[in-house]
Amino acid sequence: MPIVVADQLAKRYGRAEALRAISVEIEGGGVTALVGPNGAGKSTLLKLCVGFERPTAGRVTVAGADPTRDRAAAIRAIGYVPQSPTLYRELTLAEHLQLAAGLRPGFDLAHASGRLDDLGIPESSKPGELSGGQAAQVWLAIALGTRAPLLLLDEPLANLDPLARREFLQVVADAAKANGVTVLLSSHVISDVEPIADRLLLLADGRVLAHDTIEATRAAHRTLRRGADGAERPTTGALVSVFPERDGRLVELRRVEPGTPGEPSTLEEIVLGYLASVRPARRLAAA
Amino acid sequence: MTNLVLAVRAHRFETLAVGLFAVASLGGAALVVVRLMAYGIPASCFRGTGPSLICQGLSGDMDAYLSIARDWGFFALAGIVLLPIVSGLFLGIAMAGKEIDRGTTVFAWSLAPSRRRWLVQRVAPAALAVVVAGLIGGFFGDQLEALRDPGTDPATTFGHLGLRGPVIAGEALAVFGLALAAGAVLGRILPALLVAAALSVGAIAGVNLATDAWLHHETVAVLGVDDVGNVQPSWRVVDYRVLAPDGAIITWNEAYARYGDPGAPQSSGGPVMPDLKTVLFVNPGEIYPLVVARMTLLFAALGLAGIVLAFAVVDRRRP
Repeated sequence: MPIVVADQLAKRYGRAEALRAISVEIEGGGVTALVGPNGAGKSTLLKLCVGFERPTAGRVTVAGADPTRDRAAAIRAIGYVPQSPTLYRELTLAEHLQLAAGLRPGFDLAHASGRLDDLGIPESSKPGELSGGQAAQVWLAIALGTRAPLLLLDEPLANLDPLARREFLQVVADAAKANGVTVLLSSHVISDVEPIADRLLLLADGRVLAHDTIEATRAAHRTLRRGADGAERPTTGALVSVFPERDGRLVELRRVEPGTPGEPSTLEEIVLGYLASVRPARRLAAA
Repeated sequence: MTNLVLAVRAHRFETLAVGLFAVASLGGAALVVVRLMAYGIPASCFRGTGPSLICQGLSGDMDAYLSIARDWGFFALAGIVLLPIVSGLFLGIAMAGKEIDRGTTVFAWSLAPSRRRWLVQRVAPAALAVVVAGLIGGFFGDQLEALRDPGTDPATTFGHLGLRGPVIAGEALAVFGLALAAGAVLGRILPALLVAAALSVGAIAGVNLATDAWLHHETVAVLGVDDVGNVQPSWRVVDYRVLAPDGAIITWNEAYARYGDPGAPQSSGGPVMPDLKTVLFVNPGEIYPLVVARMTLLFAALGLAGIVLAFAVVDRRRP
């Protein structure tokens, strides 16, 4: 059963279109990697889900509730971690947990406190004493403390060092597996979120380019490298795009029928291929 | 209760600043009031109607009393006048504008199912605090008015209208509401502070001008007060006119035009000014409570309008 449903969802900021009438259903359970370049519409989609933005057209529902019409029901279903994990600089972390408990009915103070304890972050600390990674972990602990069925994580890894990323992702993966929480984790780097992702939702230019399970996505794509020798290679399936590798060689991404022989593409190749398919259009539009 | 304590801690600077200012202004006013009352000088001595033996013996104390009432009384009243502006601006901006500016609304609004409830939990105690501080300040303002002009009843005199009594509480609510709305709309501390300050000055000036205009239309004509000394202290004199022999009430300029200047030599052959009766247009002291109630309600209405606007904005805006 889908936990997030977007139906012809559009959002415009002035003349800029952040989302262009997208329709997508995100199934409950597991981790969905929401991937796309800067300005793809990832944050906008998450903000629309949490009721921080209002759609220009169409609608989105979270656990059956429309955040615009029934914000309370939508918020109760969501634990949110923003891109900039801002905290009250005057309050200690313990006070943040108390504040969260006062704001959210049913907040699991012990669970959130336990998470901070596990990470070795003292509750007596103030936000000014935390690193970016620790601040993100505090937000995640609070989001988990809500015991909400859906976690919306808006590029939480952007400012974290590799070790902090790993710790963060481990907590997210554990929550998804142990508690059956659905996670929508946005990032502009697929390799960051690939280790724990079950599904891929690829956005660019406010459009959905790909949305399926990781396995199905990989199974449905093949990457063909054009050799320097100019040797002929079998071409099957629909061409998604041709894009250059770091060494200058051109690579074809093709969408194929499941079961087509050959090595499935990597997620990075798939993402690059789809992004390359829209980049020229963007350049043309800009021109 | 926990939320209230945490809200106070989250806005420690504003709470401390307002608290210190309130203690200084209210404490200062209270000290001046207590000091003046401690003299125990009968009001009749200041009016020159008291027992001469007693009053003469108190002349030294009376001088000291009047000196304190004039100098320290001025500062105490100034503190009371500034209290609603300082408390309303600081707490009003902190409740929404500062949170939006710092991005902490993301924390609160992503957790709270109802933003209105979140705002009520913060606005209600803050509004109550500024109103209570205003009421205490207004009370001391009334006391100071009575002590600075001994023998007058502050409840029936127009002296320092709008600078004392419950109007101070109304003003505090107005400034608080306008600052709250400015903060919610602009979401930036400094611009909201400047806009709220400008709106508050406009609101205070507007209410005072409206009150002046109303009072101008609510005058009572009093005949036969030819000596300024007969003007009662509780009256607010709006206009002096004269009663012409034909029964018309005319201005002094019209009287000079009709009957000439009584100071001019009679040999000039001009018209001779008859014995004209002065007509005073006054606001009697009895309507003072009504005027104060009206001003207070006007300010309160402005404040409530600001609070309602802030709620509407917070409910719809992005954090």
